[in-house]
Amino acid sequence: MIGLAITIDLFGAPPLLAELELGRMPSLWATLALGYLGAGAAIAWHLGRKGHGLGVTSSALACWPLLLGLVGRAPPSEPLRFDPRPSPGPNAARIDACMRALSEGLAETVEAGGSSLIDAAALARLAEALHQADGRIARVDRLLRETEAQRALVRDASVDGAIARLRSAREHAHAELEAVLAGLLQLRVQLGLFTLAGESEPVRERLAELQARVAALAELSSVELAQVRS
Amino acid sequence: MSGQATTLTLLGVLLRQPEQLLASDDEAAERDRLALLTPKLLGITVMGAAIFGLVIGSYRGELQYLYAAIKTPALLLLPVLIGLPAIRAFFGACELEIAWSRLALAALIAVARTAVLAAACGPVLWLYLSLHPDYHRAILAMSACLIAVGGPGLWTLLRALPSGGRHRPLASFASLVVLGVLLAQSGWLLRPFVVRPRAEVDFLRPVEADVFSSLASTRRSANGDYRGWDARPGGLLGSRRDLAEPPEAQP
Repeated sequence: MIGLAITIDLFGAPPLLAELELGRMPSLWATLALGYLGAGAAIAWHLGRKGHGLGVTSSALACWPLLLGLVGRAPPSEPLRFDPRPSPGPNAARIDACMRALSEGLAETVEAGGSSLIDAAALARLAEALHQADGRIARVDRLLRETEAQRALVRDASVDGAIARLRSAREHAHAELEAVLAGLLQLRVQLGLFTLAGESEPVRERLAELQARVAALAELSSVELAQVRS
Repeated sequence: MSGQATTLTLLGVLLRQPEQLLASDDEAAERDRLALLTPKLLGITVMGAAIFGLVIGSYRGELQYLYAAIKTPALLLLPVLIGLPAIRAFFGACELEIAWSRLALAALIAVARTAVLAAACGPVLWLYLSLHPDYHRAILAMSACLIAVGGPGLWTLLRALPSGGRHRPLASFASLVVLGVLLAQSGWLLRPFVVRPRAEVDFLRPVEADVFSSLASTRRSANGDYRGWDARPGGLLGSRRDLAEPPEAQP
């Protein structure tokens, strides 16, 4: 719009300018303003359909050029944090990718006319719990590396046994995490089935099962680590 | 600092480590940040700039409080909204591709930081304006404040953009020039901000050409030539005013 106005101003034919000068100028202002607000309203509506919150959609009304990067994108699954994760685990990127795929799938179901199946806060909690479990695995890996380096200095059968139990607990936690990630992908597939069949109950049950599994993973880790300490 | 970001936490990070607000890993993370931060950063911008506007409006009082508080956020946001594609093109010409989300987020952070700093300057400017300085001195004080807070804002924007590319300083300089010109012209279109104590309060003055013709008129006046003191109405938006009514003498 602005470019059009400047182009007309600089290169427009004199009769056109004269016509504008004689009585159409207020309508030019109105056209520019309405065009800007109309584009803002269209983008706000689109972002709303994608599942973005009221803050983003109302921001798009006034400042839509800044939010063009969000067009066609689902809202983020995690809340904003300024502190980086203390120790990103070995599966951090996979967890993020799974959660992103899931939230995009949810946005597609909303866009297809369905209601919001899963609360964004529930997804954020699940992602947080998974990252915590992954962070614990990273800490255990670090601990195992440090202990391996010191084993040459101290030879003790009880230390060897503790290391073996720690390694076993780590493998168990990792296997559980892998199972939950696979479950997230299955959930993504079930969202597609929901789009076809419209049955939301299996999706909710599957998510509840995954949440319970992640919670159990945290408890299991603490129990197994306590056994290692003893 | 831990847990979810509140607006107060965001303000602290914005002033101390604005680069922490930018995700550095991938484009998807940048889009997430943009979606999460935009409402808060816009809110901070509007609040900070409105406080600065209230202070400017206090020189005249009455409705000018409200008018200046409404127009000042627009003064900060308009140059960014209009100039962002040009900035991206400048950096693209210097072989530095910048994702739109990152550029928008960097610009929002810069504007919000400028607005917060402007609000922080408010009490000092208010104290000065309460001494009833001369009209021109009041304008100079406002301009000095804007330059003082705009510098860190522009620096934040340039630092937030990725490094690399060829002739990056050239792109940075061109971006600064474009933003400076847009800020000056936006201020000209949205004036008056500072109104003489006995002058009539208007929300917007009639469109009169551009800020550069005004500067030329001021230069002529400074040389003792007071003929044609006013900026001449011109351009598509200013032409009709020229035909319809004679230009008013505006300071």
